[in-house]
Amino acid sequence: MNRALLPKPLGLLVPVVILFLWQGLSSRGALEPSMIPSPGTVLAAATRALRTGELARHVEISLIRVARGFLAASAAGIPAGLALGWIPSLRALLGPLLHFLRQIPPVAWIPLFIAWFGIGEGSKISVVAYAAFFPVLLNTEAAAALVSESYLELGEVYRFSRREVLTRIIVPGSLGPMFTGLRLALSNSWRALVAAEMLASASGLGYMIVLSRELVRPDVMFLGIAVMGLLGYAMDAAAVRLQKAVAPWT
Amino acid sequence: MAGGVGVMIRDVVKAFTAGAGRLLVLDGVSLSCRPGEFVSVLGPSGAGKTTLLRLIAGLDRPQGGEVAIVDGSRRRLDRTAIRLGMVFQEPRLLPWASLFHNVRYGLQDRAKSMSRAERERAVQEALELLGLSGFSSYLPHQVSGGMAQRAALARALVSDPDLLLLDEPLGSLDVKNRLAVQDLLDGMAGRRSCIMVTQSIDEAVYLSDRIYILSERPASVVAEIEVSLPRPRDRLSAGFARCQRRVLEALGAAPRPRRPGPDLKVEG
Ligand SMILES: Nc1ncnc2c1ncn2[C@@H]1O[C@H](COP(=O)(O)OP(=O)(O)OP(=O)(O)O)[C@@H](O)[C@H]1O
Ligand SMILES: [Mg+2]
Repeated sequence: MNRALLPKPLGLLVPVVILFLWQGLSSRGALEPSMIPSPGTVLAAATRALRTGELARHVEISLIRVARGFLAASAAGIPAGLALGWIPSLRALLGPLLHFLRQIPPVAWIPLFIAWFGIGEGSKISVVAYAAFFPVLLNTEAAAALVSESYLELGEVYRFSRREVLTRIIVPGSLGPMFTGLRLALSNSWRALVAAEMLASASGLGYMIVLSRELVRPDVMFLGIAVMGLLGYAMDAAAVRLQKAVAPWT
Repeated sequence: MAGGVGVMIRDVVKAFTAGAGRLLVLDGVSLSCRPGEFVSVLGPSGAGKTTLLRLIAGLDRPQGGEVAIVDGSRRRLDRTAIRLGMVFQEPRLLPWASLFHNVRYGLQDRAKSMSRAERERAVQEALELLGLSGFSSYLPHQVSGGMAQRAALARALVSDPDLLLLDEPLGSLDVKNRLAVQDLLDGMAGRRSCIMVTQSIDEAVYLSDRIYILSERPASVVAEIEVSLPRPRDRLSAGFARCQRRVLEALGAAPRPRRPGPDLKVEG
């Protein structure tokens, strides 16, 4: 996994070209501003939203929701995945149920979660957690189940206790795929959150987009979309960086 | 383990189900290693040498015959009653642990009676013994193959094991390190039981009290050669050469008798 953390100059080339083309087409009047506002307009909307603190407020609320849901899902998903991967009978017991649940799109739960946990933060965080849980769980489980037999033999020869097998072999041996799961979970979190915010919320980036549609402000809509992409990108890069620091052998 | 630990293997049969059918690998193998003895096993690739070591380590079970770990008076011991040091055919270091930690994980119950500082000293000593003192914080992927193999040896030795099982442990060492490690093992002869699989006749004769030669698969013992030369052995002595020749012959690979002919010329 030697992916660059920040885009190399080459990777910036295509986005920059697109931006120039976009701006060029816009200033020639080739793009209908109510459908595709020019980059300049979006930038202006960004400065305005930054000045008023509007953008920061929505971003902060969304980030906190993602963080809470994601952390809850990881706190549950990692130990559960390790246990399922390590203990085949547990896998046999719970596997079918989990694979059934994971097929349900998180968004489908939103009405129910609202009924159960209220229209407030509870339902949104639950949807995020639901979306993040399965990638963490399944990747960790698969990794723990596949930890090389030869390492387990090593533990047998050198008489590792069950605890040592867990801490010296299973956990570190699962870290690579676990990180893959965490990264997937992060992007799933975003998706689920925005859906939840668009359906039932009065704050957050998803709400900002819905509101901008009602107010016919395509520039703000584009701003919201761009910010989501950037935040997602930054989070993923941070996760990669964390993985390099924590598990340099992966 | 006072009085030492030995190994007795009688008429062991081991087959694997592989692919379409059954693969007979060990067909009535008998060998023994008395307490303190250094035993080598030689044989063709695929004969079942690794399989044999795995049976001794308790990582697999034979279908017939018996594999027993015994004490000085030939009483059977439980596998868990002894300290085992094992070097697998590949280094098998944990990729996420530094060389220091990999070696420390070999301490087994010896760790319990030690303070933290004593443990660290024991690990550092083992690393130093194998010429790895500067590399204790390296991860396995940051060291060379020969260094990884030496780390695996350090891990096997750090617990001061009763029984050492070595599967071609010096295969990827350079000449200098190979000789050094051979001397290290030679220094332990008599004090620690050791069963070593090797492809090197020189190594077997240099180190062993007894050498077992296995046939092609399905393997059985075709020869058992006692080596009673004084240690440390002189590679250039007549006795050493005689032993080498006997091993070669038993392997069915004795060199052709020398015929008078033109001297070898080196040109260029
Ligand atoms: N788990 C297994 N399942 C099926 N067949 C196996 C298994 N382990 C070993 N074998 C077979 O047993 C035979 C002996 O294998 P083994 O690894 O013991 O050979 P070896 O003497 O150590 O060879 P080498 O010198 O190449 O290391 C081989 O033909 C191998 O294919
Ligand atoms: Mg082998």
